[in-house]
Amino acid sequence: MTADIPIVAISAVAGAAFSALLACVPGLHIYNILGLLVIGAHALAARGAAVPGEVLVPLTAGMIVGYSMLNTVPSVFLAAPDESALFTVLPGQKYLMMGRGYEATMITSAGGLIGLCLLVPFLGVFGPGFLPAAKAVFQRHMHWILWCVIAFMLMSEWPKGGRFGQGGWGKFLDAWKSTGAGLLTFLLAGFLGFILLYRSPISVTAAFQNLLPAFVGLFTMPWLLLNIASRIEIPRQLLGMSTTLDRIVLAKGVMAGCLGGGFAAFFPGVTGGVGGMLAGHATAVRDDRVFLVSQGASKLVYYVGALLLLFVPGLGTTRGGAAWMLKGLYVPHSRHDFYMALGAVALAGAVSFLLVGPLTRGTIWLLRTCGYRRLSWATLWIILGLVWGITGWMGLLIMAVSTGIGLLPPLLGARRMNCLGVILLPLACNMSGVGPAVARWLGLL
Amino acid sequence: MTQSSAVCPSCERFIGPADVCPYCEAEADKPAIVRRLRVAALLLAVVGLTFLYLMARNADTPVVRIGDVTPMMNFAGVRIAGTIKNNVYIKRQGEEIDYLSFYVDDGTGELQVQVSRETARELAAGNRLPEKGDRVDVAGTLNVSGEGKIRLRTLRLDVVNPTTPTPTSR
Repeated sequence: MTADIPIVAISAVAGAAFSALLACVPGLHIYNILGLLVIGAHALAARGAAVPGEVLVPLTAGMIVGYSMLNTVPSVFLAAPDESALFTVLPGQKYLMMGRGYEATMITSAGGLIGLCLLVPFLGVFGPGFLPAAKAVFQRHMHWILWCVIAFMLMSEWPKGGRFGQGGWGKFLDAWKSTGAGLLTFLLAGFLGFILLYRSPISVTAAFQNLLPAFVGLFTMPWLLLNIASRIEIPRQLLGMSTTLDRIVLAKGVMAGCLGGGFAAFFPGVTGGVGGMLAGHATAVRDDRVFLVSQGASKLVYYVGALLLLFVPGLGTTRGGAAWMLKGLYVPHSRHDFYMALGAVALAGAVSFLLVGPLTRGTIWLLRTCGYRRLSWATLWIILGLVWGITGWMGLLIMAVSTGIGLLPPLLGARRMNCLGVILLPLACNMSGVGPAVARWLGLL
Repeated sequence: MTQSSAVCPSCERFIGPADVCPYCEAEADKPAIVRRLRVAALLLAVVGLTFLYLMARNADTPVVRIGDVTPMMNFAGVRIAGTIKNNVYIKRQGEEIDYLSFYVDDGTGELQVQVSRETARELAAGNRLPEKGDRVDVAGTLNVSGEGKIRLRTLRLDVVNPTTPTPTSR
């Protein structure tokens, strides 16, 4: 075991540093990169050179931590508010347009670091005792909890128009435009999810990345396309902090973030964004700084927590893309794996946080040198290559259809979160026991 | 930012993609690209999804040999044809069946088949529960773990050559 420690540490740091760099590329999701890692690991295993758990586990953990910490950089600097944002200009975007993008990144990362500092000891001490008991309690109730989440998500898509003018169909339709767009997006995405889950056109040899083209199309492509079409000029960015983060701001933000991230990590189908939205409503987050801190904490707790659930002894739960992909390569056996993963996460968290400052400055320099659009074009080609390389032409076709669905919310003023119908709807139906009946009715079974 | 069409030309508030300012009702002139993108997105989503659905509906679930299953096929929807090697394990919840589990051998390898509650209850209702030695055709989702264990979560099961005929369609 002692001899393994340097290998574990090196793997965790390497994973964190590698994904921290990649996280700064807009739209490149860590699960896409992990997919390539899985392909490489399987190829090595087929040649009799399987990657040992002492490398695989900390490397994956490091990559997830690095991504969740550094992904803030493109989400602040490469998602400037344009025609795609109606009413809701997120605080990170506000900071960016005031030239304080660096500050927004640092505040969000601080939230992430504190979230991680709470997650690791919580799981280490209470995980093996508390989580299996919680699972036993919630197991039979997961389906209706998921339906409640869906109902809240759809009902909180409030009407944004129809407030002025004479009554009648015109006003009615104006009021329903964004709400209807949200519902339409959710249903179309859900329908796509049923097709992909029950009769996926993707080759069986690439099935482990079944949802990759759909997720790229629903979330990444619209972002990149709108960046390219956008005419926004980003103001010169200041490299410093002009606000202070007092304990109350940090405590409120971390509490909301950990609640949302923890909920999303534990319940199937719920992502960090949905968890953050629920926690934001539950804790009435209003202050921009609190919001940024909560986003950082929520993202870290969701991504890292979901992966760590795989290792919690006696739990037997797999949540999130990273855990599913890792499980195909390595099945944790004992507390040795659990504590190794926790150690790797802690180490990777420290390294990732130290990289936030330099990489943010690097991104600002890159934006100044290359420009917003050119960076988005470059990423677009990388993403297209990745989807084609892993899932072939059929993957590109699914990605194109998903892009159409993914473009609806930003162009019609609804939440992008509705695109999560792609997993939420089939999963909720399956958990309620009606999934196969719906699939049969659709002719997919 | 002030040059953007996301800002109302009259009150200069941020209005995003709205055609009419929700604050002052002024007409906001949207760039042609935004209008075209809206139509293109809607068409792509609806028409594309319709064709994708028709394609998926009319496609056959691929038949794979158990020996050819690789970890990359995790989550793949496949069909397996083989013979049940052991006694079928029936997990009950009270009087009702919860799930069935058995091993299928197709000559190239062996995998564990887990039949979901709904399918198992349907089979039981039709007196078509499979037994050891039956030749079956099962369709479902593959689950390949890092330990090399292969499982098939079955969505459809046909007993094509039963060992013990029953009065029903078997």
